[in-house]
Amino acid sequence: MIVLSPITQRRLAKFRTIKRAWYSLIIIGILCLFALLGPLLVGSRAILVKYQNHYRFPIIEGRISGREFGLNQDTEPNYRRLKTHFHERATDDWVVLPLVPFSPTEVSEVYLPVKSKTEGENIIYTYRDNSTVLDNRIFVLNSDGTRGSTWSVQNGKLDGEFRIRNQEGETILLSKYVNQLPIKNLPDHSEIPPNNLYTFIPYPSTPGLDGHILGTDESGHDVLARLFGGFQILLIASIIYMFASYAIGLILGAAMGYWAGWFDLVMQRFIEIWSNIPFLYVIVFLATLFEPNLFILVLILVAFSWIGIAHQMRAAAYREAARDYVSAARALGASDWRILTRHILPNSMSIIITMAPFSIAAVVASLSSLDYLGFGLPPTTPSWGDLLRQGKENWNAWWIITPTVTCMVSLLIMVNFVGEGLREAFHGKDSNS
Amino acid sequence: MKKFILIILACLLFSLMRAETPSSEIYQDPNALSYYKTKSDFFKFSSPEKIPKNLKWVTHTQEPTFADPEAKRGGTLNYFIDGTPPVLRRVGPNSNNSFRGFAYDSNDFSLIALHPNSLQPIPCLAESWAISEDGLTTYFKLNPRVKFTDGQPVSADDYLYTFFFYQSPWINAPWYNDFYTKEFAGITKYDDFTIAIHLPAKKPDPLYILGSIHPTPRQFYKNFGPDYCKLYGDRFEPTTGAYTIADEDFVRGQRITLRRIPHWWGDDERYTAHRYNVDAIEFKVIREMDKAHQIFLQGECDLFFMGTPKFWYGVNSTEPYQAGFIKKVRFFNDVPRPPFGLYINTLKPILSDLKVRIGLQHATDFQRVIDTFYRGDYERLNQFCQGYGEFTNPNIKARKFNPTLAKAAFAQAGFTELGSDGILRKADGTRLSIRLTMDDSERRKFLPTLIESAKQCGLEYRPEVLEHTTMYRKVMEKNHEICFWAWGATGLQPELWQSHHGDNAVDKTVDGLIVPKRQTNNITGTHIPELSELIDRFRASTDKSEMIQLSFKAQQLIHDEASFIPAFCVPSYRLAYWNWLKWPIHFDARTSDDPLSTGLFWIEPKEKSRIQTILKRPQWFQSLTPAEKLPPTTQIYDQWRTE
Repeated sequence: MIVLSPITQRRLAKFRTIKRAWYSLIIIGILCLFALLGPLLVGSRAILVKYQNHYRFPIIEGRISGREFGLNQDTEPNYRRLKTHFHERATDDWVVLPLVPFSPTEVSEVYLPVKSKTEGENIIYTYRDNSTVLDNRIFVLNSDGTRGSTWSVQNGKLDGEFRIRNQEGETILLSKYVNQLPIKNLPDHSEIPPNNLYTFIPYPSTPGLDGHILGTDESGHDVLARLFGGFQILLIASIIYMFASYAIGLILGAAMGYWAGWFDLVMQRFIEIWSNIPFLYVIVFLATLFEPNLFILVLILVAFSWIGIAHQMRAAAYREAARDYVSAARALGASDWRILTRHILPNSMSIIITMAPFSIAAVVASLSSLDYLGFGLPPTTPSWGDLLRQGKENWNAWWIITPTVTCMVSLLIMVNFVGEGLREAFHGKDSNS
Repeated sequence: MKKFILIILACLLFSLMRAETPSSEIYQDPNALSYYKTKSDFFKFSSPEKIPKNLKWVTHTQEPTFADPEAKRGGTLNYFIDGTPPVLRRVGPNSNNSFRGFAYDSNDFSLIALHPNSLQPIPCLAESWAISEDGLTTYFKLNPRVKFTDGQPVSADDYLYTFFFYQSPWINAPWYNDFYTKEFAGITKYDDFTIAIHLPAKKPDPLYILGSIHPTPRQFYKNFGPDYCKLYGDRFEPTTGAYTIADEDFVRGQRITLRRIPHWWGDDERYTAHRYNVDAIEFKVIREMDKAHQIFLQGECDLFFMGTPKFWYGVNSTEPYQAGFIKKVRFFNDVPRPPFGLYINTLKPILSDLKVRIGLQHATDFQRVIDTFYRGDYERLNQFCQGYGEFTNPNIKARKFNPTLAKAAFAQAGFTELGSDGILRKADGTRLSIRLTMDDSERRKFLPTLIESAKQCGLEYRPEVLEHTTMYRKVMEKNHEICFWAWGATGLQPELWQSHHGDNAVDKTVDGLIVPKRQTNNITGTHIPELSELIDRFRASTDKSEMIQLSFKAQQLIHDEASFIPAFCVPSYRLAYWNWLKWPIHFDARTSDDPLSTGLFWIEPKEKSRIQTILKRPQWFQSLTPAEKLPPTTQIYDQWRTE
C-alpha cells in the first residue's frame, strides 16, 4: 500500500479540481485500456466461433486450420468470409468478430458487384447506387477470390482491352473492344455473364465499403485498424522511452548536482557537445546503417532526450544538496546512495512528474515525424506518421488524413492538458513545495 | 566606292575562309594533343589513302521514315520537373539526375541510330559505315552538315576528343573512365570526316556499341582541366540535338527552358526531319506530383505521364476529359523489359536449396500485386530476358502462386511442421523466415500484399525497407537474402554475363573456401558451369541462329535454377494530353518509352487558342455547345503489343 504524503494528497486533490486536465487523464486512461484489450476490439481473428456444437476461441487459441471449420484449406480461415459462409448455409453455426474485424497489418481487397442496364443502344455498367463505372475493369470473381475473365470499361461502356480466362486461370484470349464491339470474333464461352460481375475499388478505398468504417489506406489496410495499431505502438514506445530516459537523466543529473566538482564539469562539457549534434541527421544517418525497428528508434530518441531531464535534475540536486537535512543525514553517516535515493530524489519528485506528460507528447511527435519522413518503422508496422504521409500524398483521400490528424491533435492536446494540470498542482502558488 | 567593294570582298573572303577552314585548325586542346601522343596505340592518325579499298559501305536509307510530314513547327510545350538538377554538366558527380534525360540523352545523337520501328541501323551523324572483315573495326563517313547547338561544325577531332574527355580523370566519373578505356581498342582519324573505331574483342553486334559514340565539342571545353566539375557545373554542353539551354534559361528552383536552335542540321535529313517540332520546352519546377496533376488539368501543362494509377484513373471524371479537351493514350511499346522481381541470394543458407526456391516461386503472389496495386494494368513478367524478340524463349512462363505447390516444395526441403504462428519449420526448429529487402520507392507499398500471401504458404517474409543507395550497397556486398530489384534492359540481345556467369558469383579463397564475389552484378550467386559455358559461347558467337539457340537454353537453365522470381513488366506507357498536341497516326515509335525523346508530336495553334478561349469563360463546362464538345476518348495503340 502506497502511503501518500499529505503534500502529495493535497496536490492530487488540486489536480482533480483542474477539470480539463482531470478529464483528459480519464480519457487517456480509457484509451490505454482499449489499447490493452487489443485483438478483442480490433483484429481479423474471431473472438468466438460456434461450429457443430463446439466453441472455439481463435483470439486465444491462435492459428486454427480452415479444415476444422469444414473449409477446404489448411490455411487460417478468413473469419469475415467464414461468417458469411455460415450465414449463407443457414446453419446454426455462428462467428463473433471483434468490433473492427480487420487486423492492422491485413491487406483486404474491396470488391463491389456490378450491374448492367440498357440505355438506348448502349449497355451501361454501374455499381453501388447506380453510379457509372467510369474507368475500371469488371471481372468474374471466382469462389477462391481469384479473378476470371476481365473486361475494361470506359465511361460505363465496354471499351479497351479484355481478357478471357479458362477454368485454370490461363488467358486464352486477349483482345479489345472498339466502339463497344470486339475486334475479334469471340469463342462461344466468352459471353459476358449478367451476374457475378465485380469491380475492384482501388486502394485507398472510400469509407463505408465492405465494413471498412474509415476506408483503406494506400496498401489496402483498414484505416481504423491502422490508427488503433499505431496507438498501441505509441503507447509501448512512450513507456520504454519514459523509463529509459528518466533512468539515465535522473541518475546522471542527480550525480552531477550532488557531487558537483570535476564530474559535473566534465559532464556539462559532454552535454554541450552532445546536444549540438543535430538529432534528425543522426537518425537519417543511422537509418542508412540499421534496419529501423521500434526499439532502436526509441533508443535513439532516448539518447538525445535525457539531457533535458538531467539539466532539471542537476539544478534540483544542487539546491537540495545544500539544504540542512542533507547535511544532517550526512552527519548521521548516511551513504551517498542513501542520500541520493532517499532524500534528494523524493524531494525533487515534482520535476519528474510535471515533465513526464510533455516528454510523452515529444515521443509521440518525434516517432510520428520520423515515420512521416520515411525513416521510421518498417512498412508493415502501423503508425500514425505513415498515415499522415499517405494523407499528404493522397490529399483526395480525406478519410486517411482527417482521422489521423484528429487523433494526433486531440491526443497531444490531452497529454498537454494533463501536463499543465500537473505543473499547476505541483508548482502552483498555494502548494508548499 | 572602291573601298566599299574591297571591304565586301574581304568580308566574303573571310566568310569563305571560315567555311573552308579545316576544322582541325578551329581549336585543338593542347592537353588532348599531348594525350593522343602518349597513347598513340589508341589514338591513331592516318590518311584517306589508307582506308581499305574492299570495304562495303552501307548507307541504309531504304527504311521508311516515321515522322509525320504534316507536323507543324512552333509553339512552346509546357511541362514540369520536380526540381532543378543539382548540376547541368553532362558527367561527373550528381550529373546522373532525372533531368539529364531531357538535356542530353534524348537531345543528342550518335554516329548511327537504330530505326525505332524496324530496329535496323540508319544513318545519323555518320552518313555511311563499313565493318572490317575481322569485325573489330567499323569505319564511319561523317555527315559534314552536322553542327553542335553552339554552331560549331562536328568533325573527326570531336570524336577523338570524346575518348580523351571520357578517359580523363578530371571528369570524376570512374564508370565512364572504365567504359571508354576497356570497351574500345582505339580510334583512327583518316580525314576530317572519316574515322574508324576499333573493338578489343569480337562482339555479336559491333555496330550497336561503336555506333553509339557521340562527339564532344572540343571548342566548348577550352578550359577543360582539373576543375571541370566546378567550372562546367552549371553549363549546358552543346550537343548535336535540336535544343539548347542558354545560361539565362537555367533558373535554379524555378524553371529550365530548352530552346530550339534556328537552323538545325537535322531538319534536312531523312530520319530527323519533321521531328522536335516545338520551338521551346519549358520545364517549370513543381515539387509535388499531385499539384502538377492539378496544374495539368487546368491547362497550364500540356501533357502528363500517368504511370501512377491514381492519376490515370482520376482523369475520366474531370470536366476537360468529359469535354474531350484532354485525351488519354495508352501506347504499347516493344522494348526489352527490365527484369523486375525478387532476386534470391543462392549463397545464403536456406536459399541454397533449390526446393526452397521453387517453393518461394509459388508462394510469392505477384499476380495479386498486379491485379490490385497496379489495377491490372501491368503484365506478369515471365522470365529474366523478356522483350528481346527472337532471342526470348516464349516457352518459359512464370510459376503461378499456389499454396499447395509451395507447401509441397517446402516439405521436400524439410519444412514439414507448421508452427503455432503459421510459419513452417524444420524438425530442428529452423523457421522458414526470410528477409526481403526493398528500396524506399513507391513500390514498397505493395510489400504488405506479398507478405500476407506468403503467410498463407507458411512462409514469413521479414520486410526491410532501405534508402536506395543503402540497399544498393547491401546488395553489391551480397549481404541480402532476397531483394526486389531490376536491371536496366537495353540492347538487342540479352546480356547474361554480368548477372548469371559463374565468374561473377563466387571467389575461391587460398584455402579453397567458396565466398561470394562482391561488387559484381551477379546478385543471385548463380554459378552453374553449364550456364557459364553457354554464356561464353553466346558472347563469342556471331551466328544469329546459334545465338538464339544458346540463349533459349540459357534462359531455360535460369528458369530451372529458380533464383529469380519474375514480378511484372510495364507493357505500355500512358499519358494524357491537351487536344492541341497532335501526333502521327501511329502515335509513337515501336521502341519509344518517352514521346519527348522521339519528338514526333507538334502543337496545333488554332486548336490551342480555341480551347483556351473556351476555358476562360466562367462556368465553361456548363456553357459548352454540342459543337464545341468532342467525344471523351481513351485511345489504345497496341500495334506493337507483344505480351
